[in-house]
Amino acid sequence: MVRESYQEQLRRLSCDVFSMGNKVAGRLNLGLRALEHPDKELVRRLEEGDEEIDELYLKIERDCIDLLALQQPVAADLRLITASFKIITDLERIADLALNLGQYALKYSARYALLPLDELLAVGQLSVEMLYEELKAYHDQDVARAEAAIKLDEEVDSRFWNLTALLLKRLMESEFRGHGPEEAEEIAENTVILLLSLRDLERAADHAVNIGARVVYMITNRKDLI
Amino acid sequence: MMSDTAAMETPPPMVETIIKVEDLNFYYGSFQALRHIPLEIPKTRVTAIIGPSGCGKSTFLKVLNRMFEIIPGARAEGKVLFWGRNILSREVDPVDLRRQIGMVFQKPNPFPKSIFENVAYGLRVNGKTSNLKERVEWALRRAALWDEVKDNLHRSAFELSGGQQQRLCIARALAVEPQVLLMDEPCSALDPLATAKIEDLIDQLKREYTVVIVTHNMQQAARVSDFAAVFLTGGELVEYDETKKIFENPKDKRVEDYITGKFG
Repeated sequence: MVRESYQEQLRRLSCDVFSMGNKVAGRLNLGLRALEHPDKELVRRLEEGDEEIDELYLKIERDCIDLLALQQPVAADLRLITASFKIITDLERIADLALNLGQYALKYSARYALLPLDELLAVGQLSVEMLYEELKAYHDQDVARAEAAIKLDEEVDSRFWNLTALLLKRLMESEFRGHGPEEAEEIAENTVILLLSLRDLERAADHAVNIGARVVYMITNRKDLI
Repeated sequence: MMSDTAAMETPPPMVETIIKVEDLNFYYGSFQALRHIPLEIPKTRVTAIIGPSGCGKSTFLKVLNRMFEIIPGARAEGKVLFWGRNILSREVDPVDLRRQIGMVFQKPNPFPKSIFENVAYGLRVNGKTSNLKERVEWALRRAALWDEVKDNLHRSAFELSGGQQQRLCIARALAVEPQVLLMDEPCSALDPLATAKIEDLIDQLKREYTVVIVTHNMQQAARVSDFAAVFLTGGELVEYDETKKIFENPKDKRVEDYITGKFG
């Protein structure tokens, strides 16, 4: 075995991406908890933690650039580095979406909920599960796991559409219930928050799909899912 | 016969083949240095031969213009078809062959003569003495050396830097208008700047010439070649494909391990 320190750097890169991914998945969970039980303390933790994710993102990006510039990686090593380089962008975006959830939570009022929150949270749970599965697939170099998790996106999409349609339908129905202007405003704001939350959770799942596609590429050189 | 047939599933390069090697075996006395090599070298492309020390890559290059014949006890079996004609046949005149398949070596080896005479030498030997000055200038321009030496053509070649000497050797090889240029680690004795100039030159040369380059430097192979053949210890050709495929997704695990530096 030669080029030991280079191999060590590749192992460290892989560990760093996995660890950043787990932190991001944890933050997405935290965002869901904030929606469930709006809590300023939770949101503050989300806001503070965002900086850590940005720093990790920049550090891993720099490590990838150094490896490319200094080690001239090829073959599986090159794919690990380029896949990691792309995966951390998706992770950073998911972290931003998690922060959004926390910020929506502070404006949300359960009084005029037009959707059962549980169903929205279930979409979020699916997104979190997809992300964890893709991270495990990345870590264990497991193509089957990556592909299986990508398939979960169909379920997320379907629930996203159904819940969005249901929400708009209920909003239209609620026009005729004779609410006063203040209540109407609150209903409107809540509806916007629910729509944005649904959209962000659906997007988080899309980012998990991107990660899965890169994992498949990394292991097999297949580009069909990218 | 390939050691791993799966590695050759990719169809051969979709360009005209200039040299076709068939079941080539090579021996230094009783030692077998190359085993059952098949290889189609595409015209006007750069083909890199890579592999660890002792894998037979320089030997392979020496077979392509029969340079091995100067080594006692060396013999080649099989076929090396240059435009369909087996150059290993006794009927082929090695001097004529080397005019068509020129060679540049690891260390620049100019003759102890002037810059001009170094390039003119091959022309004189081949009886091409008309328009000598023009032919020398043409070759020096092709080798990207003209502008640096045009005012000092009668100075000794030894006054040139290593990189310039190597380009002079390339000019000397080009002067007799070969079709193929064999390069045996042409940059291993050069600094990065001189190396970059040779690499640029190779890029220009492939418009008109076929280049086969042996290199230890994996990154150089990746930079300059269109196709890469990986030889491994024991004198086997393990994988041959477009350079991009070899470096992005080699099919043979041993090639993967070799190019990523996991075994050397």
